[in-house]
Amino acid sequence: MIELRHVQKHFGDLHVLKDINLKVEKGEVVVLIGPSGSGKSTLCRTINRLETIDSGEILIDGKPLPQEGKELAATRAEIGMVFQSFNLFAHKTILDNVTMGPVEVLHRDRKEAEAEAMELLRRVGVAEQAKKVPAQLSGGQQQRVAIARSLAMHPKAMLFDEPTSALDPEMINEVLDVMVGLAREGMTMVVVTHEMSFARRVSDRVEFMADGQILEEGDPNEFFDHPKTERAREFLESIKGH
Amino acid sequence: MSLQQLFSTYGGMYVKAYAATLEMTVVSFVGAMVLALLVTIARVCPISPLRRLGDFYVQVFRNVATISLLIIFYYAFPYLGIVWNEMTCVIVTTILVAASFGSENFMSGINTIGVGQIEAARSLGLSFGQILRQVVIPQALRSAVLPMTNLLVAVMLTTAIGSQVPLNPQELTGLVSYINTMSVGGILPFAVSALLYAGTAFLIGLAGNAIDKRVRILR
Repeated sequence: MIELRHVQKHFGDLHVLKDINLKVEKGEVVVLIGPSGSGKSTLCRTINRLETIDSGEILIDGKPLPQEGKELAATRAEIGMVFQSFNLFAHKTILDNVTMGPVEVLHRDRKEAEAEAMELLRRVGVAEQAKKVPAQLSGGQQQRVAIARSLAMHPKAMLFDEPTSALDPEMINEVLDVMVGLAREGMTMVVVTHEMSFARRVSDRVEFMADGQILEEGDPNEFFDHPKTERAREFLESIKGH
Repeated sequence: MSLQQLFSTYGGMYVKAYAATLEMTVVSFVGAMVLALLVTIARVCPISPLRRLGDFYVQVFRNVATISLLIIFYYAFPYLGIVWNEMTCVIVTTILVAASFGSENFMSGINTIGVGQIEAARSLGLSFGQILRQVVIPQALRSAVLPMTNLLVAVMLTTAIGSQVPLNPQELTGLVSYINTMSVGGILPFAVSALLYAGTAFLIGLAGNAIDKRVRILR
């Protein structure tokens, strides 16, 4: 469903993505893990072109990712994105945050969109907050709303860019639980995270990145218990206890 | 001249002058807001020549002396075959200058939004126009209420440039010059005009604060 072929990217002199090849099949959950600055967030963001690439190819359902305009917007509408900092629309209510995409982009009837949004908000456990604005919610609640906002578009795949890194520890699980639920329902997911428990429980594959390269990939339990590369061993040592 | 004499002789003219000041203030402010919004959209749009044009506009009109602009429109433009009446000249001048400051207010409102919300909107598949309408403009407008309140006061005071052209009826500042030419009024006619300006500014400030309280975005 998502395929990256020989993707290269520089930020000025910095070579942030070095010949990245990655394939994510329908229904797969792939976790990108690695030290900060390894390029994993950048990689995740190239998939819906929030970051452009210098060379290589990105294919969505076998078709090249459009460069701009209506086609790019249409492709983005089909891929959900959840950010580290939630990025809810600060001036809109929780309900309006969730209905904006369906109403504006998919031209759904507002009443129907609201009914479905309430259903989604119930599912992620924040239905009582529907009339509030984002600043009145906790971080964990905001992130669950952000997931509901993405789900309202009926995406065929979802990208998670460090979805729990900005959360207080006691709120991490409420967000992970929602993500685990999604994974079990068969959502195609690319997740940048350090949450080993999440990777072990639901991911099909772990991709370990360092210095802009994918150094190691494979079964999550195998990777966490018996990393093959020295770099991965060092990294796992450093995050132990998380 | 006593206050009583001043009002019995010029009371009616004060009313007309105050009305003229208010009229020019309202028309100029509305025009400036519309133009400021257009300039701001140009400054953030994806087309880089338009962005540069928007920035250029602001640099020019923020840095020009308002009075010299009025003199150009009123005294120089007729040589180019462009003749506007006095009030039009005052209003156009005020709009052009106020729009540059208004655009700066909108830009700082936009800068408070943060790239994250815009990326979220792009990820949902919203177009540039939809992102402007749904995300950027509503937030920029709300966070611009207080600076725009200040700008409205500044616009009102700027209409005093009308005293430099033969407006009919005159606005508050022009009227004072007129009174002091016709009769020796001393400081009193100035004080009356100043009080009207200051009182109006005070009311504008109250209204601005009330609106800001209602629409302010929690962060």
